[in-house]
Amino acid sequence: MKLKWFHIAIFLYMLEFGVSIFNGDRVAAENIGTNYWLGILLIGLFVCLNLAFIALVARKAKGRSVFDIMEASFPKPFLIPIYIGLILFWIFTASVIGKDYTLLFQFLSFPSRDPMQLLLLYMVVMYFIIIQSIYGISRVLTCFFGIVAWLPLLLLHFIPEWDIHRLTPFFFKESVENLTIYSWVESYHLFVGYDMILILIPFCDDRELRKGLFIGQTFISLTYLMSNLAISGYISFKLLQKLSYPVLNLLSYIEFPFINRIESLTFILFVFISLSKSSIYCFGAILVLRRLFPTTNVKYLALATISIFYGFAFVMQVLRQTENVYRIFSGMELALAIFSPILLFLLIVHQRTSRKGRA
Amino acid sequence: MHEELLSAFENCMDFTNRSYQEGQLQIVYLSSLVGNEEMHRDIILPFANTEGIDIMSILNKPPYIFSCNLAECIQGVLDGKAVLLYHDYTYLVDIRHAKGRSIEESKVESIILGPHESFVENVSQNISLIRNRIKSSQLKTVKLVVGSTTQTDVVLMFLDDIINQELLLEVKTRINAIETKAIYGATMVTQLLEENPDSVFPQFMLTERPDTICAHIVQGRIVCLVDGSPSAFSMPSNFFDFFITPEDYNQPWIIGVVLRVLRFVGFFITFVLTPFYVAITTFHYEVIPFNMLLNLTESRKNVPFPPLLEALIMEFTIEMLKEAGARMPTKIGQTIGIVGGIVIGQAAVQAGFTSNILIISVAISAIASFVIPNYIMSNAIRLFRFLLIFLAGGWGMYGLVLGIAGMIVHLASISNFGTAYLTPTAFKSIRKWIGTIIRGPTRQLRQSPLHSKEKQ
Repeated sequence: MKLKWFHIAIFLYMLEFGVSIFNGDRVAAENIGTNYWLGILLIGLFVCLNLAFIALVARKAKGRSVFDIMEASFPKPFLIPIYIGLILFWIFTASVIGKDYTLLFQFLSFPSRDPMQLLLLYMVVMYFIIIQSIYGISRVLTCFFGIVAWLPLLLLHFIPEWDIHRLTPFFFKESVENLTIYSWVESYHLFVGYDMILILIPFCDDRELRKGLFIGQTFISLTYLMSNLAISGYISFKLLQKLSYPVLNLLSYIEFPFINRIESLTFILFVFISLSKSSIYCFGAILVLRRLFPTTNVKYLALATISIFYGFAFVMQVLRQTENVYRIFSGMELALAIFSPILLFLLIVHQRTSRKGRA
Repeated sequence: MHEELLSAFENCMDFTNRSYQEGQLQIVYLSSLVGNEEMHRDIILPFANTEGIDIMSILNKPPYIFSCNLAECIQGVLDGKAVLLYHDYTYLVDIRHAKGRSIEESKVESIILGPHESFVENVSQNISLIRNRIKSSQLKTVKLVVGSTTQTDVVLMFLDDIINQELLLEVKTRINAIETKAIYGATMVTQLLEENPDSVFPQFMLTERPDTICAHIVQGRIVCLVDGSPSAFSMPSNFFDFFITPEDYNQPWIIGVVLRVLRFVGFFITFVLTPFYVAITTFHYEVIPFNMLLNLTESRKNVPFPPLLEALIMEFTIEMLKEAGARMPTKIGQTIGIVGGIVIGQAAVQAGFTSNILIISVAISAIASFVIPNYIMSNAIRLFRFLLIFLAGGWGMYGLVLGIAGMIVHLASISNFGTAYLTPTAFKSIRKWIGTIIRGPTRQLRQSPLHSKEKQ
């Protein structure tokens, strides 16, 4: 059995979409300026190009995993430090995502509770996800996607109040600092995570992967476009730059006769997305661990992974820390997303030419 | 052979030995298994007056079957056959009379429209109920025997032209590998076949309805009937099968869709309503609008327990009522209903044990749990709800949502003869995925088998 295109699309959606949507608009408004939605769309196009390159690598790889390609070119002892670095990086990223979510949740609805205790429950569920095969994880993600996919539709509530004049006729003006490459990298964090698609290469046909990536990226770009436009047409630009979490502010205006505080309920559902992201990163780490310890039972590897995951979470104590770390990691992920497919592509080409030379 | 048979059935009150032709023809059988009519037709009439007739000329014609194997003869007697011993020759004749109740309406899975027949304990009658509905030579019946002592017949039924042969082979291997002394029903076989026996969720769709089973056969599944059990089950089954009833297909499709969606909503309500109440009243009062909050605090002000304990007491009481009601005869059952209604109704509120709103929540959850058509699935969900109540009491909405996530992860980890329990999430076509939740118009129902040939 191989993963189908919609599994790939769901993996991509769950990797990119996340808690960053809550402050994404503010960050984009600060860095890009007015009509930042167009900027987000341009970044989306850039991501699409990057994904096209990943799809090309998948095609050339012919079902071989990223690690197989690397091991064919480099001796294993040389790769061990890279593997260890990758494992720690991925687990640390998963940990940042989990801790960021629990800190934000504590801030919103659970001020009296220790976030590490909240993270413990998160970790237990994650353990049961990562001990499964990729197909089990794809089923879990499909169900999680079904639960959260409708959330952007809540924004339709604001259509009556929406005003096009708030978008302003100016493009990319009034950013806090001058528009530089750094501003774009800052805004890029809405899309962080898609480089993990590389680990899915051996589990699907390259055609399905291509289709899934294209559809998934289109879907997520449209979701962001809808959310950006809804917020820009509802909240004035100056206010938007001042609100920490504009989407939460926006959702707090929704009231039903039987329930209030839709923003905190919506935020709770985002645990499905954070859980999926953390799980994919930890699953990636387990895949690398299996290269180092091929005979060890996956349950022990998962146990080691979540222990490191929980240990890393102690490093960050407040939201500002997780957000700073997340920002640094976004840059690293961007570098990884751009350079790792290039490196893999070069390796594949080199392997092919040296094979031909030998023949 | 005669002596060996007599010694094999020593101390059997119903074992009968009759002699004809001055002891030249011996007939042995178990009188409790044979029918008078069959006995009269195949034994008494042919052999009553045989003067001048060669007995061998009778025995060499059907329905008498020659046998020279003692084990086969003993098994034959146990199956309700008579053994005829004439000089050194042994013959078997089937004079079994199936005793059991006649075909009735199912009490567990009754429906309003559509066929009312249900399976009975006799496997041959059950096979005939299926054969009457699927008139195809491709419909195969394979008999296997399980239970070293009970020697229970287990019959597999499937359409040979569409079945996945690999799956069939695996099912046969797994059933043959069952090592047990006794089998008393289909539920026991399912428990021995389950790949995740420690899960609370039922992994095989058990039903008493021939129409449901026929639908499964036509879809390309293997159906298993167990002698002595009025339930049959199909392999492989998935989670969503437990929410489908034949009623959906016996009504206009729009009503069918609404009813199926209603069942999923019922599942959701029974699962989360009480834990939601616990989470809200323990940690998240802020989500309740002001006017409702006044009512809620008014109703809770006299309750001395924390919401978790309050909900546990009420849920435990209602579970006891349900269990008592299920075991009692109808007349006493009514009394229990009245007493329970008073206990968990106004009296509990007046005594300050619980709040009105919790009573409403518990009652709605209980009603919603009856919307789930399958009894075992309903029980599994009731049990899981208690876990969610604890999580909601400890971690609020966060615990509740992670509990739901945990359940999804658990369901995703269950597999069933190589197919996933949450199968529609692995389907390659979104059309089939939607088809699980929404039943399309009858004219558009695809006839292509869902489970055939290729493993999902």
